[in-house]
Amino acid sequence: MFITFLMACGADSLLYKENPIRAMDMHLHVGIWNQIPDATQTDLATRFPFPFGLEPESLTDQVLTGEGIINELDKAFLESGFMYAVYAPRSVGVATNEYVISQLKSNPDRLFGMASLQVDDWENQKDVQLDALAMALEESGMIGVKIAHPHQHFRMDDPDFFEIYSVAAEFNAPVYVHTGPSPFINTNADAPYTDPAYLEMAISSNPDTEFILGHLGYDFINKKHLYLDTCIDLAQTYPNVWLEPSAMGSSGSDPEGTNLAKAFKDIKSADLVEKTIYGSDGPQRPGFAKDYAERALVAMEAANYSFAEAQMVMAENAEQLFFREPQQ
Amino acid sequence: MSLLLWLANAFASAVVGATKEWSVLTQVGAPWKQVRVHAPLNSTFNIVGEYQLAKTTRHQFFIGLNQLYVDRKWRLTGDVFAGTIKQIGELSQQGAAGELRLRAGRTTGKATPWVSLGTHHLLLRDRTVIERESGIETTVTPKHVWSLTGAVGIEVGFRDNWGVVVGLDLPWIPVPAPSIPGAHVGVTWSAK
Repeated sequence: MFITFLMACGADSLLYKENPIRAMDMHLHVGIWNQIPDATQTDLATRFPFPFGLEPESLTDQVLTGEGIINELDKAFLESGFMYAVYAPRSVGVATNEYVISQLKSNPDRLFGMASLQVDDWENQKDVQLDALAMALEESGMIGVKIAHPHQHFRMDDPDFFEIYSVAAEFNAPVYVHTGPSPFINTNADAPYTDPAYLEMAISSNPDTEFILGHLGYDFINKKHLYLDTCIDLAQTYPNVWLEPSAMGSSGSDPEGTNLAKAFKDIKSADLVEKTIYGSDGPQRPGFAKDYAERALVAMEAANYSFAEAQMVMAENAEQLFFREPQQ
Repeated sequence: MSLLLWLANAFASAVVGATKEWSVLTQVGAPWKQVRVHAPLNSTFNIVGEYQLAKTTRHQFFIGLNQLYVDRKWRLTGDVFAGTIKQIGELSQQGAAGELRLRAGRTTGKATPWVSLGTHHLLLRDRTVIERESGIETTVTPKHVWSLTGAVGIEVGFRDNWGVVVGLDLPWIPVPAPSIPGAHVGVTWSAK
């Protein structure tokens, strides 16, 4: 592993077992700093190395755009990235579908978007929001849906929201779901909002919708696995369930580097490598996308993934799910 | 030749401490700007006042005592500082701060290298608010933030009592995360 790391230092591509490996990052964020709640701004600023956290807006505005994402992809030797819209005004903030669509234009060959929708006033705004979601998914490059129950404060088992999954299925748009307690302020950590077991009703009643269980149910508050087994059980049981290990393996969430390796090991033991898609949840800070990709490769090597298995995780599975064909 | 005459032997001044006269260091850089004033008490001790600004948001006010330990070809001094930090912006915080610092520098030569190392301590109060259906619970807990300060550079003397300083700032704020290095240039002056 150390030799692999040393070789990566002078490489011009990502390497796995000394061979160049293709990679896509299916979980990246864009946005505008002042559309993030104050408390979340503070939380994010603490993650930047000193002195960037003192005046984070100047830094984030460079990174949280389509151009900034392309720079991060280039530094990380990643072929493409998926940028997420977010509608979580109480917690992590808002990055509208329109903003994501505008950022796709900076490099439509390498940037793709995951749409979202506002659920705060669902009783009165349901049809409006579902129509807006459909309109967003009609845009070229918008290829999926992202929702986060703990950030958006709605239960995973609430059937009132299941039409989201129907709309997604109409557009063949996989739905990325945040699982596990979130580290951000003003999020709901209770089980119905974070435990993917509560999503089973939605998964089983929407067999035409592909569900991606993001973060593998990781408990970011206590920095430990919480619902990994549930995620694996669901992926084994249902053909329309996929797994994604973003953020949980970062130096902040997994300082010892053991949690990400365990996740990959359990995934392989459960014969679910072909249903696992790489994402980082970057850019978080300059260089994060590269750092996380390297950490994921080290973790897969620790879990004895073959080159072919690692290639599936890093690019081919996402291509199969989102594009039905290789993108290279 | 005239330039060489201007380049008087530099000596460790407000950069390294233990000055025999009132001395001032003013420096600008990224991200640190600083003003430091030395007022000699006797041959061993100086009173030091220091103001540091990082970017435009982190203000540190220190007053301290500087003591001479070694004064040969190299001068070694130590400081004990106490004061406050007020940081505004997204990471607003305010608390009492202190630092133990060692400074060393060559005392002879046209250009004198110097180095500074310090252990910095900041005391804050963390307020945690948990909202439950049953009510709001607020707790205040003390928080200690430990940082390491460090800098290295060169001072070049002009005339008898002026100097130009260039330096690299290499702090760890807070430990264990190394910070982005900084750089600065400055001017020192000592009363004759």
